[in-house]
Amino acid sequence: MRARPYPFLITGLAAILGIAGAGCENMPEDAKGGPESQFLTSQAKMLAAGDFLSSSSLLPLSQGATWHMLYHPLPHTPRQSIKDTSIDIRVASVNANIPGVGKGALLEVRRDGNLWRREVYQVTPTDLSLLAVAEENRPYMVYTPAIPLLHYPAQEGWSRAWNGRFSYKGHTFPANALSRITTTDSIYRPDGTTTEAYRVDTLIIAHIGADEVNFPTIRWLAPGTGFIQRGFIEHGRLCIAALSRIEQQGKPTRPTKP
Amino acid sequence: MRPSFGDMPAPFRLVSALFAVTAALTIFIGIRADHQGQWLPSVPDSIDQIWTAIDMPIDHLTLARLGHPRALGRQYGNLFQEHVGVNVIAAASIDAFHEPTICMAGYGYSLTAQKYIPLFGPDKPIRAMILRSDTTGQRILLYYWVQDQFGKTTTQSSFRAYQEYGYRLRHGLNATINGRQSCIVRVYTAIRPADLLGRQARRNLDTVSHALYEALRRDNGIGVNPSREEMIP
Repeated sequence: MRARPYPFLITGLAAILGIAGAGCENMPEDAKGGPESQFLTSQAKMLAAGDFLSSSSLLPLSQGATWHMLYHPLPHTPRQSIKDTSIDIRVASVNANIPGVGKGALLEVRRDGNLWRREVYQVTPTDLSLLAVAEENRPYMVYTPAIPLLHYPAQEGWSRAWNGRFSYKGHTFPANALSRITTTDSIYRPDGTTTEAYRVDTLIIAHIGADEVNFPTIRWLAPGTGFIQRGFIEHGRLCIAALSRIEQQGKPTRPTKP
Repeated sequence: MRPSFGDMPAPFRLVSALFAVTAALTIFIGIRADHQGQWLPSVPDSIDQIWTAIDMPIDHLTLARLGHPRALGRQYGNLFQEHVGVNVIAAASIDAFHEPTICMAGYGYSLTAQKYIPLFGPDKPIRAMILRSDTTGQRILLYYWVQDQFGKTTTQSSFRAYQEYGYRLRHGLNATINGRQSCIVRVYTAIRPADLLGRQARRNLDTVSHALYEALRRDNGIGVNPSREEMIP
């Protein structure tokens, strides 16, 4: 009888292909997660609904309002040349018209009673932006356009890159910046309770010739309170200003039109 | 008179036929696998004006271990000095499918968490892993997926060990029978100590991964395989 290998060949080949699962997609196994699965599942916190919907609730600005803060380097860092001091952030004007800068809310930062910084913010119903900063009584460093720090409704993970100009003493340089709501932190209030606040990280880099000048800042903003904590870099170290008392005076700010 | 196939004794006919089929299959698989491994799409130089890339080529020893596939390495960085590493490797051979946890074990990292996440859509999973250094405690977040030229992703989760020849054979047959060109993508970043639950690291990886996915989907290998062009939306 004559041998017929071809049907056997085809059958054998089909069996090999079938066993190997040819043509089927590899579906992933059901993952168990593992002991550190929280790193893959943790979700961003949403602060209380309504509390973060507008600028007036997350950074309430009213004429004369003052955040009194205690300023100190972070623990476990060398403290030489940095003393624990008091810092007061006062809303000097809600709608200041500053020559060479523009219109915005002017905040004065005093350290042990002495003028240390001035900051000019543009506040609109949807955005909080930084327009200018000055150290002590020096001229303003003006950012054109204003650097967005926050977009409302605020949400952890929001970030915005900025490319613009940095002007100081009549000179203009290219600059770029990145601002981001990096996380929500539990921050101690003066009464000992904790509150959730958005941590807004901002880094501004001015390109002055071949040099880069960095201006890093961290702002913790709590709904209804505003600045509950701030971070400044001093002598290369992170220093924290923590809210000790807040004075709200006058009437709340009315956001300016964009 | 020329001898014909039918003149051969039956056992030799069977052996000859087997040889012929094997040779044909070898040529077919070689051509398909080689064709499949030609696709190495371009990836974006910057993402959302926040991330900019520099070239970080994969080292020669690693490429040799992967069978010298076409590959590119990039590192995306932002102003906060956060970095996301990217490897895109053309799926030229089974050797290119290297289990990432085995690679990282060599550097002293252990797998401590793993999830399959439909990052790009319901049927488009990726494999997300947390790898922790046994000595320093530093954690690496790693995304791994294989993307074909039509945007479909798989995770090849079965490649757990070199000895699993059945899985390797299945993959090779899938590659050659489906004939789709694929790239293996690894995206990874270190989780900073201040990033307590790794949410920022995940956002960074999600952003870069979505940009890569879209870049690969847009590229879709048209330059290599024009006949597929009409299938691309």
